Amino acid sequence: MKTIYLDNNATSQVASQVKDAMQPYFCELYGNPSSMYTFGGNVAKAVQDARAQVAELLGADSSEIIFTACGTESDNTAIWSAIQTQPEKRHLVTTCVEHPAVLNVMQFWERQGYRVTRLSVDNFGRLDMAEYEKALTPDTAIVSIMSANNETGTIFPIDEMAKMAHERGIVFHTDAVQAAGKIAINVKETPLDFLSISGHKIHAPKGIGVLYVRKNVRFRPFMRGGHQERGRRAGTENVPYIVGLGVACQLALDEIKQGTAEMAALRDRLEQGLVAKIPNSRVNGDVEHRLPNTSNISFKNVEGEAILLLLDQLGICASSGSACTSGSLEPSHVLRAMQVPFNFAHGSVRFSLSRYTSAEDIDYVVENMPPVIAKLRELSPFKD
Amino acid sequence: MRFTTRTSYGLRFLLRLAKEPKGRLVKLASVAQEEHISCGYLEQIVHALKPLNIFRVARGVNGGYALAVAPAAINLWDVFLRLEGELSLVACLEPGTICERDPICSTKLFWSDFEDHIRNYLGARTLQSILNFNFWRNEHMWDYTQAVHDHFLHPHNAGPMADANAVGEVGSLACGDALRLYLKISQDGKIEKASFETFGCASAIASSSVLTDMIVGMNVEEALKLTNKDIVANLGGLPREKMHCSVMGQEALEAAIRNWRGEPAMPHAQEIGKLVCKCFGVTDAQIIRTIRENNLTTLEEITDYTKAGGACGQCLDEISEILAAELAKRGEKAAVDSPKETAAKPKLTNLERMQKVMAVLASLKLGDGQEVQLVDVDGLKISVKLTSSDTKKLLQDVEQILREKVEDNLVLVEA
Repeated sequence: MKTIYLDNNATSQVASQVKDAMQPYFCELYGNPSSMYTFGGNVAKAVQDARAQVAELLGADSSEIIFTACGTESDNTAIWSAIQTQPEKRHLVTTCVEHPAVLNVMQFWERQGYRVTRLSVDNFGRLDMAEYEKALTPDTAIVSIMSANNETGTIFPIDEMAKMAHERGIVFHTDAVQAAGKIAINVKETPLDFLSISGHKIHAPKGIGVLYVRKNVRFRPFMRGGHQERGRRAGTENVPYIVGLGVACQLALDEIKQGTAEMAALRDRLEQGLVAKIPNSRVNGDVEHRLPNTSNISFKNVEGEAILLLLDQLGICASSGSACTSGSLEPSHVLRAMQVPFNFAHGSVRFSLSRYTSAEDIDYVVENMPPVIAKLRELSPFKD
Repeated sequence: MRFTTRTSYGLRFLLRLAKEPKGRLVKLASVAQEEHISCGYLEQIVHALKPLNIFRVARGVNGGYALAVAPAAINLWDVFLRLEGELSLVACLEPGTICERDPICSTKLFWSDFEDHIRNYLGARTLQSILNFNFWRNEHMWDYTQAVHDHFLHPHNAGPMADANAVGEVGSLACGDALRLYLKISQDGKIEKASFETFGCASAIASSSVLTDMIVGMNVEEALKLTNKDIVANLGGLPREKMHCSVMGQEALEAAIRNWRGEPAMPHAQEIGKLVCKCFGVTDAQIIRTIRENNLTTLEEITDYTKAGGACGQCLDEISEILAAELAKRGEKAAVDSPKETAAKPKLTNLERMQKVMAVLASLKLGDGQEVQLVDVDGLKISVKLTSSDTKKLLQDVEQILREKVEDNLVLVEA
């Protein structure tokens, strides 16, 4: 059976160009970039090239790019750094729909005595700018707000929010793990201090991430040790993965320049097809301001895990915000924050496309998913 | 170059039988329906397989098919031979064919070697080999047993029962799973039929399905002795965090039998106990019982089995105290000697309340631009989202209607 992979916000296929670029750095060009001899120096050059490719995606300077092990490490580092460099400030601002990589870090600092403001969202997952403005205080050490939500794809007005923080001298971090490579980000125009990227969401392998740190922003390392990354992130460079990420960023930039309308059109075809064929279904999130690849649909009165298992039988990979799949006993914190009615929240399914998704894939899902929902609704005691 | 649908359908038929619990009969028509195969065509295929003596047939209303031997004893070459006929990749290899080119043929030996490979491949494999392939496809990711998978994908006794004389309901939409169990119980207390409707994950559906299989033929006294552990055992195990699905089955069974006996939907006040977990509506009595029946020793296990403490976590301290008291008591005979209290006023279960509220809200006659959307039902607190020029008045009006039609002490709030 063919696998139809529509879970690219979870992880993505490594691009063949990325794999090919990485290949020589395992068995042939395996030198340590910190070494003195040419054999290491060549490798250092490859890392520098990759750094430039990543910088180009963000409109940044190469010196502002730090390679990390993952998006989570980047998030941890940004918040850690802002707190360590401004010990007098005891207040943090974030939203209630962040990824656990930010939410749980904020909770950690809260337990250390920090005050945390978690901005609420409306029914469409949008932030209230008045609430945001009120949250910014002279005591605020850092604002950490995602560029786009991983579950619904809703894009936040990072540009405006970063400017508001900057006017008040507050450090601003954005977790751009879902947004980077899907929508244009330019740090020349948006006054971001920190930005996190994860390689495996943009067709590079798992195990590589980036933290962008604006020039002249005060920084304290999270990982201490050797002098790699100019002393800002110790640990021998993960050369093959860094090289791969460079190529992945270049491919993503090409794609953004060409426009992602085609991907958005496929996503809309999927969404409209399913909503038209399946009664009592609704789209979650801000459909006007959304990543081009993400769709979050709720099917009333059925449970997400059951949907996913039946889709798996058809070779379709997607994810759900239902209680049974969230690892907790409650539906996803994002859907709850949006006050999605409970008889919809448990039956939510997220589809996330990539450049490798075809129209045939989409049509297969639109064709085969309605009977799955019908079958589960027939089993359900809730009928209306 | 392909094998015919006779073989692919025939294998699907045999696999379907192989996945049934031992000895359970399956109707040909239901296999045909589930597998989307024409019934007439399937009959022909089954007829062709009959001489292998690998399944048995029982006639009559309750009849059907079942495997007569283990899947590992069903050789695939035998099955292919029955359904495809003798293997001959090219015409000149057909038995009895004499070809004049034989002495000078440059390809015949290749073809016959190729055929041997196919014969050997199939000859060395059994129906179990195919089950093993499926094991990797289906099981690896989801950590469910084959039995859970089968009951989820092909639930037994699903759907409402028109002539049920006992119905038990547990769970709620807000909790993420709910089960309505229908029973037909004879005058002398024997469970003649059982069916279910379930909203929930795979293990919730599988627990319901296997429960209906288990209880048919039992009398109510026997059925009341069943615990969630029996449900788990019949499924070959459940992941720890899914244990509450089996508890739900046990509770629905008890609720149905109470219903048949004319007792209130909720157990006696004394059995209800004190509400501990407000998020999932779990009482101390339920927690204590689950601790005892499953020999639980940790807070985490209690959440896995009852869901209590799994949401906001505010009640975790209280649960710890209950657990500590139970652990202290363990080994000693509990000397519970409280007087039988009279039954409390029949109360609605969360599920019943929710359905009534939903029905009433759906039947509301609202003005233009007015909307009422149900957000949550938390005990007597009903949260709704209102759209109106005067939401306060709408809230009051709807609350009044709900109090009249559902329960007089409901509270309506804006989410």
